This record gives sequence, C-alpha cells and structure tokens, in this order.
Amino acid sequence: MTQPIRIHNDPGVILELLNLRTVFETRGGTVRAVNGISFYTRNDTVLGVVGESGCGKTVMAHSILRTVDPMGGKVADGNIFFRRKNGEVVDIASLPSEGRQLRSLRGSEISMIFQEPMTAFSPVYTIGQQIMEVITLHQKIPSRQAKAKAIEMLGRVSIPKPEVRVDAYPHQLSGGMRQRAMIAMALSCQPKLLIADEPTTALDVTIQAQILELMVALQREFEMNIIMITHDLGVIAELATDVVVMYLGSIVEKAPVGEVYSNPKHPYTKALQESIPRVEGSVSKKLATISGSVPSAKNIPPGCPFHPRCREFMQGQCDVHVPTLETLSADHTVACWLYGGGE
Amino acid sequence: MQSAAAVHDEQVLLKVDDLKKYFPIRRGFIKRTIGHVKAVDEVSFSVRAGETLGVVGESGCGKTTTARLIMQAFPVTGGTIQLRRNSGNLEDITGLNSRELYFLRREIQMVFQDPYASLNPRMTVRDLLTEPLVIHRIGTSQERERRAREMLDLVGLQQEYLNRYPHAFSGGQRQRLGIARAIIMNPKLVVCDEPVSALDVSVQAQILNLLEDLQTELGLTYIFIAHDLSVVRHVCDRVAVMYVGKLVEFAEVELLFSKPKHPYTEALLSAVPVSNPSLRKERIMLGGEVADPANPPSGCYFHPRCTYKKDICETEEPEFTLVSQDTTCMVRCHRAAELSLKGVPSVRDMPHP
Repeated sequence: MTQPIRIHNDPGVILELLNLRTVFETRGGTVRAVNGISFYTRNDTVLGVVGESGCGKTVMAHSILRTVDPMGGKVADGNIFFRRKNGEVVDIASLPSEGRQLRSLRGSEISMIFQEPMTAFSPVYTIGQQIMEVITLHQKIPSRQAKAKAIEMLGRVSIPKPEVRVDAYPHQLSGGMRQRAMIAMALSCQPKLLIADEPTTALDVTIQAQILELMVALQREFEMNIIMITHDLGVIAELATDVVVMYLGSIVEKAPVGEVYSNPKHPYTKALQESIPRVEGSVSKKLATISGSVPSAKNIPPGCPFHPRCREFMQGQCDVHVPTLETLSADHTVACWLYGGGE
Repeated sequence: MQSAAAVHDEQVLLKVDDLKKYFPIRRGFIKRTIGHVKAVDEVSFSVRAGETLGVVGESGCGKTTTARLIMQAFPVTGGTIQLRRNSGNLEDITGLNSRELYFLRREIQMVFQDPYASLNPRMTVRDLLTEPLVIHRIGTSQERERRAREMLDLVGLQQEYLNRYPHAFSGGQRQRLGIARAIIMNPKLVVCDEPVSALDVSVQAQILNLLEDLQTELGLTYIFIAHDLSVVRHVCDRVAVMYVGKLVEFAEVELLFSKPKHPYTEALLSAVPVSNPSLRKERIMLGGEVADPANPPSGCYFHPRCTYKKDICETEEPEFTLVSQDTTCMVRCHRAAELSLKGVPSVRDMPHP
C-alpha cells in the first residue's frame, strides 16, 4: 500500500504523517499508543484532534517533536514529513533522537503548549528568563535584545504590564496569565507549527474563551498551522477548520469541521456527538451512551478497534479485518466497513 | 428574600440562610490574623425534596466550600443550615456535636470528583461498600453483604466484583462505586461535587444517566456542583450561580439559560463553547480575572469586569432579591430589572442542520 505523498507536490502542506506507529515497550507488553496514522495539514488550518483519554492524541503530538524518546517510547515505523521555514522537507521520524537537527526544529519551527502551564514552566526561573532561553537558543542576539523581544511577545498575548511581568515567577501569575505566557514562549521564534495539547482544559470557561480567541487571532497574525488536541468537542467547534477523530491509536475519521458536526459518518464520531449534553438546549432527557469504556492500548481488539462498543458492528467483518481510511469526498475520510473501508 | 422560600415550605428539604465561611489569613511568628478570605458569604437558598440543584461558578467561587458546609465538614462562620430531619421538621445542623453529626451522616452523603482518589486502594469493593454500614452498626454481616450486592446491581456493576480492589476498575466504574457507597446509607440528600468532570465524555453520559435513574428510583435530592454548564443544563432543575463567595443568581434552569438576569451569568453562558460550528457567535468577552476573595472590590464584586456597570455599582453592594414579584428568579444586581440579557438559544429556535 503506497499512499501519495502530498508534501512534495503541494507547497501549502506543512506536515504530513504517513503510517506513523509509536510504541512503548513495557513489562506488561508492547503498548501501541499510535497505531499507524496518516494525515496532512496545511498552513492555513487549525486542525482539531479529538478523542478520549488513551486514544494516543498526546503521544502523536510528542512523536512529531520526537519527545517520546525520553518518555520511553519509540517511533517504530512511518514518516513524519515537515516543511522547514526554508522550504526543505525533512522526515522527523528518521532524524537521530538526540542531535542538532532535532534541536533546531524544537521551539523554533515547531512549538508546543501544554495543558498545565504551572508544570510546564520551571518554578525557579522568571517567565522572562525562560522565554529568553528559547530566543537565545535559536537566534544569535545579545541578551538585552532577547529581553526586549520577550517583553514584546508578552505584550502580544495581551498580558498587561509586560515590562513588569517579564520578571515575575510562574507562581506569581494566575492560570490564565501563565497560559498566555506559555503561548508567548511558544511563539517567540515564530514557529510554523504550533501544537496545543489541551491548552484550556485546566482553565475556567471565561478564561478559556479568552485564550481561544487569542489563539485564533495569533494564528492569522503569524500565519501558522495549529494542531489543537482536546477532548472537548465544543472547543473544536469554536476553533478548528478540520477535525481528526482518534480512537485507540487510529484515526477513525477526518473531515472539515462543518462536516464532522452536520454529517458525521463513523459510528464513534456519531456516538460522541450524541453523548455530550448541549448547552444550547436539552430536548431529550436521556443522553445516548457508548457502552463499556475505552480498552487498554496493550490489547487493542482485533479488526476495527471500536467494534466491541459499536452499535453497527458486523460479525465476521469488523472483528476480523482492519478498515483503512476511505475517501468519501474531497476532504472527508473515514475508516469503517460501513463505507467500504478496505482494499 | 424570605418569601420565595416560604411559599414551598413543606417541600423544602434543605434551607440555607445567610451562610458564611471566612478563613483567617495568618502571618508572622505568632500567626496573627491579618484578614479573612470570605470563601462563602451571605449565601441563602433552599433545596426542594426530589429536585437537583446546580451550583455553578468559576474556580475559587466557593462552590466546594458551600458543599462542605452542608456536609458539616467544618463549622460555619455564620448563618444557618436547616435540614428536614427524620422527625419531619427543619432543624438547624450547624453546631451539632460529634455524636449528632454521626447521625447526620446517614442523611447527607457526598460523591466526590476524583474516583481515583476517593476510594482506598487497599480495600476491596466489599469493604468499601459495607464500611458505612459497619460504622453505623447497621445489620449483620450477611445483611450488609446482601445490601452491597443490591447496590452493585443498582449502579450497574456485576456482583462478582465484590472481591476486587479499586485498581481493577476504569474511571467510570470507580465513579459507580463512589455513588454506590454514597447511597448505601439511604440518604435524603446527596451532594455531588463535580462527579463527572474527571471522566471521558462517553463515560460521562453513562454516569449522568445513572444519577438520573437513581433519582427517580430512590427519590434522591441532589446538590450538583459543576463548572460545565452544558452538564448543568442537562441534569438540574434549578441553578445557583456563585461569584467570589456570593450568590449572584438563583433561578429555574430553563429561565436561567434562556433569560439570564445577572451580567455574570450572561458572560458565563456566552463563554461556553457551543458544539456546533454553524453557531459560532459573537462572545461577550469577560476581561480580567476572578476577583481575589481575600481582597474583593468595592460595591458589586463583579463591577470591574461588568460591561453594564454604572456609578452605583462601584460604591454600593446590591442586595440579593427577587427580580420582580411574579418570578422566582433571585439576583444580586442593581440593574437586573432594566437589563435585557442574552441567553443561550434553545434547540427549538435553531435551524436544523
């Protein structure tokens, strides 16, 4: 099975994953956290990645940065093609796990922001020192200039009095302010790709709204691609242009955001939609549920990983054969036997 | 203020009046008290038997402190909490001694947020479920075991699980155990403190349905604390909105979501992501952050972030009163009567996809 590699032909494509597999070897067996996923994303998109805990969305993000290696994981197979600022396409999966090439990508071309900004910052350095570290690592500029740049970045993420806050320690800032500082640090080298791993999950709704608004504005301003990882379908609906739905290490559906909400195809996507209570009104009193819970990634069910919980399970097909991503329309792909799904 | 509660007096299960909890701030070698964090301040509401009362607000607004006060986990600073006891009368439960509290625990139970932290990992399911019965010396050990099995049936777990330890269960199953443990005493009132926020969405729906089924089957009354407004809209009958330790609005759920009366409620509703991309909307952006309860602003606590503020809001604190005589909606805002605020569209008003 050879898939077309788009990144070589389309200059708008920033990142393309081909059949990526990331595994963790544990005493209890091999955990296939990311189990053969392929997708690409363009420079004008905000790609939402949704899934429940354990679906591999965070491991996928860390695979792109190759930060799974210190976590004990390994990119076992597949390619991660990334277009650098100078136009050159590199395969991140094949770079040595510790080396100049990877370090020159991290923070400078690909940045990541995390769920809990308190644990992502070091508590013993000021916000300013930590942002300056990123800047001076990638650019040869004197520290006074780097500090000016840090202050400028803090201002751009709407932190009031940036020239004062630059000398603040992380604990002196509130959760929302810390997340803003985190974003400022991530954007300080103007990356082309920003990976946001549940950036608003730890925040209150009013602060979440502020941060999402900020991210949308910055995405336009910096013309970067954002990969937004979340379990909250509401956040995706507000922010994303394209959506990838993951389940147990596989992509089950990929489509533009409107399609995912108005015309979902995969039974898992449908079930997720029906199981969330909606703030815009509850007509029926009972929520639809998905029976059971997500199985462990140590023993992924054979065939379609979702089949034990699926309402439209077909005996002899879904539990035996693994469906592959099938293209339904230009941008809408789904991995399910209901729609062909297979060679 | 009293009238709204008095109308339905015989249905009222719990009545909270002017509840206060101040935590002292201590500094220095001799731990001098230099101020107070007013975690809960002037909170009054009532809960009817059989209903689900939602308590919402941002972190630090005093939701959990209110829950703990109702549980009498720590003493109140002021105010009363009246519960309809087995005698049929409303009795004040503040200031009970430890023996009286022991009996109170049979009537109020709590479901906690994190099912990974609330179950002792060294106890089997049998021990966990029968522990409350043992403490309260109810039944023989066979009767207790039978009751534990009944509870497992009720919350949708298999009876064979009695000998297992909590680590063998998923998050959703653990929360079922937490619920079973709470209702095994046949309480009248169950205080649920963020019972689904640690769970995945597909499991969250299962637990919400379970809580609803148990309510109809056992006639339970819930106080449901949550920060997720879509969950609150789904399960609650009435909702209390808190801001920096105070109640700012108290209303029927449909009314609160369709016609909020307090600017904070409006902003809170506006901030909730709507899971429908065709409904992306103009938000009312709240600037700034939640005020510090140790050092709250003058006048109305919400005025620094409020888009509708007038001079009076900065100097005078509004009363918590009925919006008008013909509603039951109570609000703490100077301008509640004149403002017409925007709620969340109901499904009926929306174009179908």
